[in-house]
Amino acid sequence: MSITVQNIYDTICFDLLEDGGLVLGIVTLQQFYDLLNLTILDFCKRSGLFQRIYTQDVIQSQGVYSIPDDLMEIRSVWLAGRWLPPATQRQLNDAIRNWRTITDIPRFYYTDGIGLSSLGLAPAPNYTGASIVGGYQYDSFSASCNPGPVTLNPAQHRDLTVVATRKPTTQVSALTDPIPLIPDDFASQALPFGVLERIFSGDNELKDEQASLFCGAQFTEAINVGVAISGEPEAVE
Amino acid sequence: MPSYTLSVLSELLYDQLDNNTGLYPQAQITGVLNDATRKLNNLTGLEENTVNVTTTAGTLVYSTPSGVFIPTKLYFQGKELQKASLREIGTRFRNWAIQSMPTFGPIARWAPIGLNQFVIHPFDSVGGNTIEVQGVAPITPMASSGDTVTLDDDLVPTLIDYCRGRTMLKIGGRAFAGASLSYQAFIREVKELIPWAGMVFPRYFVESAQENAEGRSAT
Repeated sequence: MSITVQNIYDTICFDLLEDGGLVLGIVTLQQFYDLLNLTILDFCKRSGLFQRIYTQDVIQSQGVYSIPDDLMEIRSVWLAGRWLPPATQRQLNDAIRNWRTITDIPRFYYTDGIGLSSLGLAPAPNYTGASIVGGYQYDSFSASCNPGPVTLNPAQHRDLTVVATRKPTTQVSALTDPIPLIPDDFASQALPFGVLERIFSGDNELKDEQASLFCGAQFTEAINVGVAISGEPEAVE
Repeated sequence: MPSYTLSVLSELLYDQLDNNTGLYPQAQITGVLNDATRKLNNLTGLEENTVNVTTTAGTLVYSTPSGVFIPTKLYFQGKELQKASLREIGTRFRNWAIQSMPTFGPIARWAPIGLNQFVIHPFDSVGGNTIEVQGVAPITPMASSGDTVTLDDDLVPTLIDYCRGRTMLKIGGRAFAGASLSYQAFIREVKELIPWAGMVFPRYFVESAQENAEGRSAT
């Protein structure tokens, strides 16, 4: 059985000496939800444990593509099965003459200066490439998302593939809500510390520097386990 | 490894907390013990499991099978596959996504994509082969007094000591500050057992001013 917001709430109530529920008003239920949502987002972003592969068509002469709302941090980009290195627009200015206006086989991707949830290819592709099966997305949580026979015919594989960190698409707002994305084994032992660190470091009657340090260390440890598991060098001390 | 019941672990922890069941109710103790066990499992891979995955023709990306929570090692035809990052595979083998077995040799390496998926290289163009996925299994949390968890005897005192500090977070002040140092001992002990390359533990210390701090008052 998956844990719910209630499980995190109970843990926090014990730690705030309000075993029966938050009734003193120092931290309200709504503040708890807000802090928990922040903590979930923070954990997803920093641990790198939750990633998704997304595939879409590329269109001749179109340099900028939108990426789905549930993705936040791009980890790697592939075009026609080849890894594309990241670059900034400034680096592109130095590397490719007239990269904004020419079309060719894209050599880099960039995300700066084009708004959130967008990705640019530089230069813009000089071909239109169909995605594997009509631009579908695949994901381990859905049976319909089986990646399928993607590469038997290289000509079908001229699409844009993005690996990115996922973020929850819903926010928790009730004690009965399930914890989005994060499996029980991480959620139950990491999320309470993330919420408590924020409470103990806040400007309120519960301010406690040592407790905040302790909770911060526990939360960071859980994130660092995630970083170590996902093999990305972003751990912090 | 020996099994410990919730009842035995609770008793050990209550011994460290002056048997104060009023301040530390059983529900809290159960929660702390479960969370500490999960922490230990995530860090050291206490519970292991191996599950087979059958390859599908032309498939690069596979879902982590249920029964394995964190994949650690993959085997194909009895040989351990090299673990790499997707980026490493992509930069070393520019055409990795179209390189298939048997033309490009047997499956030789894999890369995790978060917890839930992994990529193999080269992919299997025929399908029907078996990949053994070995990894950390999720912990079943203890709920009633007879429920058990498997623990190394040597780790139990460190775990209970850590749980004491964790439980005393609710009182704060000097008592908590002192007890919380058990986290340092926990890290020292567990560090040797971690299978994850590159795991960095956060620094934790107690400010000298905190050693004299008043605790939070129960209201």
